[in-house]
Amino acid sequence: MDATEGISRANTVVALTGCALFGAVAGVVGTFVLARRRALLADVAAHASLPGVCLAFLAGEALGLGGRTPWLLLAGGSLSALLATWCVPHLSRLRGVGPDGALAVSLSFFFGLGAVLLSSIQSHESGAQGGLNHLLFGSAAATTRADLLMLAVLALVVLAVVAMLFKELAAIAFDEMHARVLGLPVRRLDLVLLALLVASVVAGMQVAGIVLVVAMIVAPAATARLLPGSLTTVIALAASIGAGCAVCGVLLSLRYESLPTGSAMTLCAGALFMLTTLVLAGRRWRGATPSTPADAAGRAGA
Amino acid sequence: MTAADAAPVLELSGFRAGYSAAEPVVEGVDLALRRGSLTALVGPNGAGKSTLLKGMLGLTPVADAGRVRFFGTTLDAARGRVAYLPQRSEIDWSFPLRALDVACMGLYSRIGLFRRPGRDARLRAERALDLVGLAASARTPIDELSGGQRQRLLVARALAQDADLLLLDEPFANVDERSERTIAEVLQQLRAQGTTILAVHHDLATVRAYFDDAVVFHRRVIAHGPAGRTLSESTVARVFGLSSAAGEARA
Amino acid sequence: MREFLLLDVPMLVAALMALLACGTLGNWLVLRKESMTGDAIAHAVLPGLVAGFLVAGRHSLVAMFTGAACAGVAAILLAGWIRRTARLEAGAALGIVFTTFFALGVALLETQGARQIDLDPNCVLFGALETLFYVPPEAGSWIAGVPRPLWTLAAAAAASVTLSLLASKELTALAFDAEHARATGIVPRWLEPALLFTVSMVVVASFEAVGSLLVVALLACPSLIAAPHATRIGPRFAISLGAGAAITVVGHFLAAYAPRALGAHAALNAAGMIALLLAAAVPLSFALRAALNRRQA
Repeated sequence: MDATEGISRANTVVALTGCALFGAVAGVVGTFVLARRRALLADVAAHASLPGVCLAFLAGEALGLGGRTPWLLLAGGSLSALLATWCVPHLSRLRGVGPDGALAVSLSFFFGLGAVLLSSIQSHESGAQGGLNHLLFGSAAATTRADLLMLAVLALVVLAVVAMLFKELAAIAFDEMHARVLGLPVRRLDLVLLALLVASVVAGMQVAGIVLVVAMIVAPAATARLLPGSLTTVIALAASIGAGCAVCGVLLSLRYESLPTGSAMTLCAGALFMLTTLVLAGRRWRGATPSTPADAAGRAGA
Repeated sequence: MTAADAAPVLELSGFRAGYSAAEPVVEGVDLALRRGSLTALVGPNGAGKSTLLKGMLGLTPVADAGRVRFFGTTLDAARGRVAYLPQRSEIDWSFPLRALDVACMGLYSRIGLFRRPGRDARLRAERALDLVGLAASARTPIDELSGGQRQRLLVARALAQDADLLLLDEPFANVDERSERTIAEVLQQLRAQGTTILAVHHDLATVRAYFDDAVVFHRRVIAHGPAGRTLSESTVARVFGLSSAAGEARA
Repeated sequence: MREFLLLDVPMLVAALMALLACGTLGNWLVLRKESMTGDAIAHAVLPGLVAGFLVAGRHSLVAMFTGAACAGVAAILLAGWIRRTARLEAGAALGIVFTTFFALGVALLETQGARQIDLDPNCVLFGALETLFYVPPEAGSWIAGVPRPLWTLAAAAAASVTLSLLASKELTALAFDAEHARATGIVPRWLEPALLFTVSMVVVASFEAVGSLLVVALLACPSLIAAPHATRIGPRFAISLGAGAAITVVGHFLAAYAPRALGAHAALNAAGMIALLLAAAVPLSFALRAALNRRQA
């Protein structure tokens, strides 16, 4: 599948809208991920979606549905990602392993399994498996209308859940102790957040690629956090920045065909974050600036 | 008393420390400890006692070191002569070590870089363990030690160093009664040998029993002198009253 | 037999040396609760590596190491600065810096001609163990036929083992109680940077042959496999390397020959296979310990 085929299947505006939606969702979910200090877990979840995707591909081929069925790949990816994140707390309880060890083990197992499955698929010379390679680093050009539809549905579901559970998620994100005291079901909300995280990661698989999607989840939210405002403002900012970086990334990768979309998006998001940090550091050095959520986190001993 | 005995082992003047230059937790401290003194550092929570110790040792940012002298010279020159017992360490007790190995760590600077601990070092470490009543557990993995034993082990590590100045942050925290008595006895023995000891201590009731002198501290030195006299009711009330008044003002 | 010597032996030797290099230093990282540092470093050095190759050609080791070292140092400094200035937690700061650097590396690779420097993003992740084969030289000694990455790996393994042996008591003290080690001056100030630097060089050297996935696995998993069984430092190292080696060999043969046994035709990714077996061995090792304990009780 070459670039022009991809673009004509999903005309550019639709593609851009879909990616913007992904960027926005990633930014929103990312705000909570950062607040709950789960950035590395998000990275592991993303990498861990690979084996599920490969198995779904094989299942699709076996069932005659065709390997590239979007909803199947999404389902497979989500399952393995969820499994991997489920493993982490259990592993970290083993004496001497800890959270860092648990992340490394989970990542090694699932991504390793993904590597093995991918190599098996790739050696089978089937036309559809070329698409799987794009999942590593993302390719807007290779995204079909069906993919975008799936992405949009997922994104809207995530946004709906966030809207419904907004105050509860906000409570556990910013002060878990207080939330417990209030009687909120912290563990269950954490699971919901995890599910939202996996959904965002899997939604972005096609365009950002599983290796780099975590940047779209973390960087726009981190940038938003640097700027003063309430939680609602930060979320809105994160969504806008995410959408903006996603769109820029797509445009860049359509312009420079060999540049993978995931790379382009990450570079935009990362550069914007560093620039904002630099500007604010400069301002802070020269004089006082209004307190931001980042400052509050810093005082709380981030 | 010779001139050497009279010179302060630890001397601070104008010392300010804290998390940022703008908000020092410890203000303008002037303190001098003479050789062989066994001093308790007492004060309410948040008074900056741990920050004082850490700041002295260069473990926490210091707003203004003022003048800090260990044995009349800088810390770097005197490092081997100063032992430290931290309050709450980040130690993961599942670490693959035996009690003897931990006690040996007190000797590492003496042994030197790249060299292995020899028989002499092992004997010293065993002696330190013996002092705290852990001789029988020398070859026990630290994972299998009780809370009180672990605390005693950290004291042994400080003792193995054979230092002239011991800075201890809450040496009696979370220990059972037997361990507490053992540690108190060890400190007395060391004082008799001329070691200088400054320990952050939380239990006002036992200060007079375990220590000779006391420093009452709340962000700066409020009082310093023999334990009995310094911890008079008025000082204590003032310091602890001070802290709640300050707390109310901030709230 | 000939196939074994030309194809399997170089792959095995490379994997085992990567294990020796990464697994040894990895013990220190795991004991310091820094199991994911290898992942961060592997991502961060890529743009430096690629830039080095682009400037001086694929086979310039100097360019590769210099570029990677610069990128690694830049990334660490940047992450530290971001932590302080943006008041971001360590995981997130690392996440942003290292994914951005990696994205830059991938962008450079893809746009500047992967063909030119014979390194593609898949190899970066999943290694190129399968490409390491021995080419009998036309003339001269047999040494000339050894694939170049094997030499770099050998050097990395040597550096790793040397540092660990020489400074074992200092590194142990640092890992056990860093604050005390610094307070009492047991540990010289240059030791920590030296450790990090050696880890970075080992990562760069191993990267080429085994890819970032296996590097992360080799740094963390062998040590964790040994964790429940070792109550002293010596046995911890011995068990981690011994178990790691056994699993590496099994993984290699499984990846190479299992498909053939099942009627398929091409081998499976060796790095991935070894990584997943190493990871799976961690919970199994703990289960084994628990079972042994029950039997003793």
